[in-house]
Amino acid sequence: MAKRIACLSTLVPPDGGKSYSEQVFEIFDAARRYNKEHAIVGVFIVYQDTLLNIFEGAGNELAQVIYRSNRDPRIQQFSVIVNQDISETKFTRWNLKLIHDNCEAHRDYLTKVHRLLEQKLKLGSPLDRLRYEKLMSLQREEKPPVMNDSAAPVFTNSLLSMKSWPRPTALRMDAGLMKICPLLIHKTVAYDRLKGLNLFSQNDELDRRLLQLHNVNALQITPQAQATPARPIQTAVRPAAKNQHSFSQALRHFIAQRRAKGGSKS
Amino acid sequence: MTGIYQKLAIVGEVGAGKTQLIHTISEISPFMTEAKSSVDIGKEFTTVGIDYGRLALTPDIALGLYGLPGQKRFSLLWDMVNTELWGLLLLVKYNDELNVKSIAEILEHFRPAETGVPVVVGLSHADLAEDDEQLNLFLDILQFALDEFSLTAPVVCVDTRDAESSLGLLQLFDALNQPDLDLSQEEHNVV
Ligand SMILES: Nc1nc2c(ncn2[C@@H]2O[C@H](COP(=O)(O)OP(=O)(O)OP(=O)(O)O)[C@@H](O)[C@H]2O)c(=O)[nH]1
Ligand SMILES: [Mg+2]
Repeated sequence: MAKRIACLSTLVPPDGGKSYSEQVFEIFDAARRYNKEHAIVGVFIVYQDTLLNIFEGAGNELAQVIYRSNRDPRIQQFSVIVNQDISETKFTRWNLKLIHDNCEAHRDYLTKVHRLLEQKLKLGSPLDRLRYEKLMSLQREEKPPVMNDSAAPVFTNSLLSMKSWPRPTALRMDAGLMKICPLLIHKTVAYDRLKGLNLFSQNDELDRRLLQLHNVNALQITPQAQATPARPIQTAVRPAAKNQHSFSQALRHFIAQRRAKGGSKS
Repeated sequence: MTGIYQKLAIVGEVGAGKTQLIHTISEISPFMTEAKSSVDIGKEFTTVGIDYGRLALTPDIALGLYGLPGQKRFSLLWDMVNTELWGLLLLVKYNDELNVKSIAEILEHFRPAETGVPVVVGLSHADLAEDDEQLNLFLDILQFALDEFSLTAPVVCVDTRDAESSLGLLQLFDALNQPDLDLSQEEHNVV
């Protein structure tokens, strides 16, 4: 009879110059090798310093895993929160999930995990409840109201900024995004200024691009207190900047030519 | 006008696609630095030393492409190239083992967050990922490594065999190299 066991644990801060991520991967990597050999499937969920492991496999094999985990000096406060017999496995392999706060896909994933576990869930101690809720509270968060398109974001009179690059699986960098992102990353820019640059030949393209970024949570929009007086953009051109400009022009010309020559689609 | 020469360093592990990329975008083929690998690295040819390519953009403007092996023991080569770079491309090869160790070593050495050189992380062989979920996982782990070195860099999937994909990388570096237009609302010392 196959079993499903879920357990919570907390990462011990690594010592000896090792980083937190190295620690996580070491644990995951060792588990992967072991689980592959022993036909154990499931998932290794990491959120901050909390680990939620779900194992599925033969009962005696799982017992061995639990024993090993219990003794692993890199994790602490290990406790089993689900232990059930199952007729079929829900996972197809052993996988790792690193959970981020603001990722829609992760929230959906946690919702699925919660549904899988909730019926047999035993959160025995306050610590377990705390850890589990910390993880699952992400899941229950209301979706941001911007999801229904009636409430499209207002760009006019607002300040725009990006904290990180959009993930390539969420949004592919193309020529249009390449024009905007470098201007916004770690900078705060007034929408009107951005518009004043006339980056795009089509009027609404800037808005469409910003919306794309907004939809993958890459854009931060804050209302602007008052309109900033237009400052002249860069007065004296330094020699370095001039070289930079010539180089950039030459490169763009080269790229355009290469593209025109074809050799590849799109 | 005096000539302008910029350098793009391409660093990545064995088989990441450095030679291929330079080949794809360069006019002249990379120097013949390929040699039969003495250890079994899963492919027949590996580059010994530096790959070099040169794009003559105009008669007196050129971009040099330097492909550098990603193993730490080559850090001497890294230092030779790592000055006044126009860009640093980290090529990472997608793999099922989810191994991003090489990138951590490279970042540790190049410290791009400190030097301020524009960095792009190119994930090659993404076509080999089983599905989107696996690819996402790999990207997560990559992000982990970047965060660790406080590096904010775009991560893009690239197929170095494809001209369009490779030119896209140059375009991205170009965008990253645009002088600060001083659009920023934060305190700026305008001289
Ligand atoms: N499937 C696939 N193959 C690729 C991709 N990028 C490169 N390759 C192939 O991978 C192989 C290895 O690429 P190389 O350019 O020789 O790798 P390298 O980084 O120069 O490797 P070393 O010189 O050994 O350090 C070549 O056959 C490339 O054509 C990709 O995105 N997908
Ligand atoms: Mg090579």
